[in-house]
This record gives sequence, structure tokens and C-alpha cells, in this order.
Amino acid sequence: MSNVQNYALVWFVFLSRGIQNGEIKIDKKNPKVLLLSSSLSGIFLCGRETSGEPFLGVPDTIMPFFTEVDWVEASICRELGYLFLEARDPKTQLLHMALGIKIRTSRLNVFCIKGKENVDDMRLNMKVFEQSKEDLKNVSFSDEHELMGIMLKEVESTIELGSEMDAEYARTVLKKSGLDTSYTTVKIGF
Amino acid sequence: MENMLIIKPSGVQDTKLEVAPVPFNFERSVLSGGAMEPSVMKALVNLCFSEMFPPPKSNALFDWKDIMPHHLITYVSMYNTLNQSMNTSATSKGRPILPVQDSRLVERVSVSGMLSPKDIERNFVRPAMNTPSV
Repeated sequence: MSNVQNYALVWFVFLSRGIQNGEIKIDKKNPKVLLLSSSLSGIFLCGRETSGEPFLGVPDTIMPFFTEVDWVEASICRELGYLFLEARDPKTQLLHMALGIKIRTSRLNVFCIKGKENVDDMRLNMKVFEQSKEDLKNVSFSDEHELMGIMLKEVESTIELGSEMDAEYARTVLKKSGLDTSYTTVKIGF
Repeated sequence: MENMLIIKPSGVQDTKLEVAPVPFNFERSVLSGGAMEPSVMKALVNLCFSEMFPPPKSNALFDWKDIMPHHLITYVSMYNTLNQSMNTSATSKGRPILPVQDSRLVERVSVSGMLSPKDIERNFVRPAMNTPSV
């Protein structure tokens, strides 16, 4: 994890604002999982390079703080339609936070084609892009990867992102915080 | 760019090569959100932030235990000012994105001081929408 603390503050305000304005929901089953709305997910791009490696395009407007987290793994959840970026303790692999980017189920094939590719062989890279203010379709990508080789896996639910014990503890923490239930996901569908 | 196939995660796209991501405005979405909700702050600190970003052993910028909303906004607005001065158009000009150092923020706070809740309200809180009368 970065020793630069200002990134922690920017992340904190970014997520707090997102939760307050309804663009980010806290998963009820595993509150360490934060789910981005479709519109907030729409700030990202995803794709493949000619080498076949999948990438997540990160807008420069959320850089450099966005990549100053230990994104150790990423998970594809076809059932819920999310790509989860997982911040874990690099030593213990304990889940600190998972950020769910809403992606149409069929589009998740950009990271791993269902039935054709083995997810264990796939690695995710992150690239930064800049969007023109005059023409929103005009995006410039950095030649270099900001992060590369993030391991990919497939999950069926958010519980699989951490241990049940961890999720249980996180649910207790959430309950004690006195957070309004409108900030969390509804039970149906999750 | 021409070596990539890019796809927007959600929403309509005309062709696979012509995509328009939703623009993200940092000032509007992060800085101008009004008062911070204490229960959201508490939940985030206890759920993940205290573990994910433990305070360094020396020269800590802040401590999660006593961080105040106006400290947060002061630092984040200074981060934004510095980041914009260093990194605007970096990607399109082929330059790497430079890190924002804590020491630069400390310097700025020592010169201009912390913003008060009133300053924040004046500078960052979005004015309420006027309802047009008939």
C-alpha cells in the first residue's frame, strides 16, 4: 500500500460522496464490497490489446489515487454482472475492499470468453485514458500500463470474495456504524 | 489506441470502436458534495480504511480517529489543485502521471491554512437548484 496518505483521503471522499449520492451501494451480504452504479461504472472502459490481454481503462480524472491501492486480484461475476477489483493485504490476502464495476454480462467476455478461455490463464491490466472535453468519443490512451498482471478469477456471489467469518464481522461493523439502510443493497438480487 | 478494442462497460454504443465513456468531473463529484454524512464516514473507516491505509509511523498527515470533514476537504482540494497543475493533459501529451506528495500538501496548508466549514460551504457546496416559477 502507498505510504502517501493524501491518496487515502481522496479515496475516502470519493467513496463517501458516492455512497451519499447513491452512486455506490454497500453490499449487504459482504459490506466490504462496494457496488458502483451503471452510470459511475460508465466512466471506465474495457477492452483487449492485439496481444489478447484484457485491460480496464481508467480515466485520468481519477488518477493517480485510483491505482494507489493494492489491487491484488479481480473477479468476474457473470451472475450479477460485475467486475470486482479486489484490494487485499498482499501478505495475508485478506480482503480490504472490493470495488464492483457494473458491466453487462455479455461484455464480461472481454476479460475472459466464457467456455473458450480459461480464467486462470488471464491477467488484467489497467491503462489510463484521457477524454477530450470537446468530443467525448475522442479518448487518448497512455502507451504504458499503469498496473499489469492482476490475477483474474470467476465468482458467483460477493460472499466468495472473502471468508464468511470476515463478511459476518463486516456486517456487525456496518450495523454498529448506524448507517441508514438506504445506503446498502436490497436483499433481492444480492 | 489503434491496437486496442475498447468497449464501454454499460450503456449504448454505436460501434465497438466509437465509444464515449461517461465523463467524470472530480470537482463536481468529489469536492462539491455538501456536508459529509458521519455514519458513512464511520462505516468506511471501520469497514476498510483503517486496515487499508494504516497511518505511517512518522510524518502522518492525519489519523483516522480524529479526521474532521473540513480537514478532508482541505486536503482533497489541495490534492486536486496540485494534481491539475502537474498532470492535466499528461496522457494525451505522452507524459507519465506524476504522484502528488504529502509534503507538498503540508507546505500548502502551512501557507494557506485549513479551510473552515464556512469556507468549504462558500467554495464547494453546490447552490440549490432554483425551481422556475410559472
